[in-house]
Amino acid sequence: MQANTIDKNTVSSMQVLSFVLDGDWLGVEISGIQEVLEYRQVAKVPRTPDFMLGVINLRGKVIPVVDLRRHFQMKLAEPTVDSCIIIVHVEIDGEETPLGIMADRVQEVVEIAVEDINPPPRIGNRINGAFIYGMARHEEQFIILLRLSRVFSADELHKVLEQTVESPSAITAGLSQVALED
Amino acid sequence: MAKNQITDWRAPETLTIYDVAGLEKEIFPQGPSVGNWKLDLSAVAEIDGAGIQWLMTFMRRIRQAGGSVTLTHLSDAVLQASELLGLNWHKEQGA
Amino acid sequence: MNDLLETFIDEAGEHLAALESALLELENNPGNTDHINLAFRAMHTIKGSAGMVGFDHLSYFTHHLENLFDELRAGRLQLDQDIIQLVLNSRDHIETLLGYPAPSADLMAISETILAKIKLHLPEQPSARETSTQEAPSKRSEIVQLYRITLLPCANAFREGFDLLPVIRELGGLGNCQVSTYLNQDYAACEFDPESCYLQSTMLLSTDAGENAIQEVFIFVQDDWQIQVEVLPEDEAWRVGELLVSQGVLSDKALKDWLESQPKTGQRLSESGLAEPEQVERALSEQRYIRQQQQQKQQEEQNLKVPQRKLDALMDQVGELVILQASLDQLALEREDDRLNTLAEELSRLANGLRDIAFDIRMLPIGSTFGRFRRLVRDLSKDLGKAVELETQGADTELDKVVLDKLVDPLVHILRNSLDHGIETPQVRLGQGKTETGTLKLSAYHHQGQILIEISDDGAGLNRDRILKKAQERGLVSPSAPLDDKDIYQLIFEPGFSTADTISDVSGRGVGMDVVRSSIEALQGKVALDSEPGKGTRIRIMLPMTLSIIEGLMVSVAGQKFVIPLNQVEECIETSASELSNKNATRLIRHREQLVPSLRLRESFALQGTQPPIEQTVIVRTGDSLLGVTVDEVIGNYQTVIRNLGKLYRDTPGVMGATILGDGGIAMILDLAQLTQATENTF
Repeated sequence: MQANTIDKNTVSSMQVLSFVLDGDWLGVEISGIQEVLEYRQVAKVPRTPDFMLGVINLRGKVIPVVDLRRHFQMKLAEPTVDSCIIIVHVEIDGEETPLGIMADRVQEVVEIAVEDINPPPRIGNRINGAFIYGMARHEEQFIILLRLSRVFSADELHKVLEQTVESPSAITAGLSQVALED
Repeated sequence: MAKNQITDWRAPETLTIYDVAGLEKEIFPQGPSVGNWKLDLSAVAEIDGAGIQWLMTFMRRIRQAGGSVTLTHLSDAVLQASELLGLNWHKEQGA
Repeated sequence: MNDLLETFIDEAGEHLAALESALLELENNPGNTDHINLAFRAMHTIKGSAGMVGFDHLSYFTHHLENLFDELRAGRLQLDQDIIQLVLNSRDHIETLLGYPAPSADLMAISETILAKIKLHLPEQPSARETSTQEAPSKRSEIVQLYRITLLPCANAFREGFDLLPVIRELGGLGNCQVSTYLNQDYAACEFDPESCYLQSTMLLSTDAGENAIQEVFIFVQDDWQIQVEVLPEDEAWRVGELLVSQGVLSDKALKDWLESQPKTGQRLSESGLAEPEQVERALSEQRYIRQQQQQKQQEEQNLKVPQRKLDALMDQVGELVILQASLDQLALEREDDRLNTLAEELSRLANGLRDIAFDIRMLPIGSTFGRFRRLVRDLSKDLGKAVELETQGADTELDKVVLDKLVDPLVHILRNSLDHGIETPQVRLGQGKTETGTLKLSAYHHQGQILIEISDDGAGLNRDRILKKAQERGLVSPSAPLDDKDIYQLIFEPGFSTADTISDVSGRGVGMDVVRSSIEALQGKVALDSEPGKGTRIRIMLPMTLSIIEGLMVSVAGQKFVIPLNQVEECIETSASELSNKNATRLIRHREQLVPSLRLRESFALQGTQPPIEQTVIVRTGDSLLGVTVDEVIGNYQTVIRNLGKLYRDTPGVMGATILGDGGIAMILDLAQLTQATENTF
């Protein structure tokens, strides 16, 4: 996701796909987006934390789908008719991989001038500052521009895993322990 | 075409796949032509299959149309390549 | 042109491997002429093809090596340790040179130092130099045969950079030849395109090099050119006739007519009353038949080189086909339409056949990697001052090429470890009453639908106390942890573990057995270690035969579908829901006079829904262990195309992948090895 780094010397504006998650407007720079799908049944992978929704079949390929609400301390919610899955390309452990992220609703592609992008506020935002590289005002809305590479960095994944792993059944904990020992 | 008129032609240094298309346009601008030819091959330092083939068709076309072709001063490169292909051009060599 | 280079480098790699194994064989058995010939052939081919693709320095370098082997073949030079080492070094140098069409001055200097040593072994020769492709073949072991070779290059040959000349030059280098070249039947004066190839050559070649050497000349062009190589019978009339035809004096038909006008040997025989005409006719037809058979056999044995990516693409397509077929099967089942059913069955038969073939194409014998292990063992044991013999077994055990490629590094690592830490020096061994030479065994075989690879040595075994001490120092285990010997041995697979007190050049460079374990696990395999102090160490690697399509047993729990690899299924039994699980979702069930640890998938995977009163338990086997997997329903056999779950789900316990179902849904494939281990640990 190098395209996400803003170089004020060379780029004057960027195109962003905006979508809604738990009432907030989020934005992802479009070059990292492969396509937007209508919501479809996601097959749960057993023994995984609930933010990892599972996998979908995209033209014969198996693609994981995640729910960013968990990262952003948002309320969990069931999918609705407006729900979408945005297929993005992110780097995980140095390997580019397609990944679906859930959205309550996809808004539109907007062009945002670089000078309209402000650094994320230090406080007053429930989304971890590290996941955001800026905020932009578009008409009446603030769009939170996501830094997907950070959201899916190995460190962050582990942190989220640690937060969530206590909940599932006892065997999961037992298994991970076994896996370490053998 | 006068029967006894002979065209002298001196082959360039290289007779390869990169040269044959150009030579073809130069010598046969309107397709097959007739005449009596004397080809001086002394300058040819590099020749490949495409070059050999072009000389073969040269002779074949002229002769079939009733003309004549004589090869002269075969360079080492031409001799080696033609011998390799079993063409016996050294025997064709004229003065 | 890139394809050409790729082919060249691929081929050269294979020839280097052949050269290496021939040399290692010769080391034990210096008089083996077959292997000398093999080595010569390898050099000769590399030299020839290097020249064709513009690796001139490489061609020059190998030319001298080839001379060396020529001397050996002629018996003017005796093979000894020095020469073998020299050629092995040369082999390695060639491998380096393959990366550089125009090598640096440094590399060329290395070439010269090696060549200087080679020249020391060569008898003084009156400057017969650098006519690298024209040297007359000296004495060869095979019989001289006359071949008629017809070469019809494709029309694009020149444009693609493939000339007829080097091919003929190369062939000429194999023996005595007579060539005739003419314009083929596609040539027409009015449509002549000077850049297209219309040449056709016929060559009579008398050589003792054998047909393989002839075929090797065509490696770059065999796919596109029409090439015929025939062995000519020792029939003088025939030979002369062919010669005339090939020189365009006689047409093929005229020759046939002429031959038919000659009294045949058979006819003469029968006319003279020595044999009955029927007998003669039968004998003649037998001869024709035999010749026909021989030709057929030659065709059958023809091999094709196919780039890996084409095979991958084929496999992908077959995978898609299998998925589609599952959809059709399902539709046929729902529609209850006889015609549709018949069609679905027919398609299923074809798809399965195709799948089997596609699989088979990708399978390679593991023995293809043994050569480099032999070299490794030889070089390392020399460096370490140890005497080690490598015994291999099951070289013809076949593995998916992709698996095999990824297996090499872990095996190299294990062998290095054995050599470095396992096998003792000759003095130590003798002192302990062992044979002076240590033995390293590498064997591969099929075992319960999996591939089992075993590497064992008769060395010192693992040092239990040192491993434990190190593990405790590194905080891998707490000092109080109750561990038996076997547990302690497995600690060497932990990340960052290395037991050598001094980091040697051979192993212990920070990467250790943990890398071995993770590589094997990435191949859906398992690795286990056994060791006995003073007796040796044995490492066993279990691998699935393929990573792409398996026969599965589809089951369902709470409406969700799962796939169990069928080759591990022993049987399905009914069990009662009233047998409660313990807190780990596991329980023991009685089956055939045996208590089998069993796992209730609903509980273990935290699936919703109500448990039916009568459940199905699938008994599966992993290695020596049995496991019961309790599900709601067993649906049936299912062709399973395994899809990777990707980075995000890589470490999910109990699941090895996913598969796409006929209705477009997704089912998880269970990782039985992992489930078995986890379940056993709960008792």
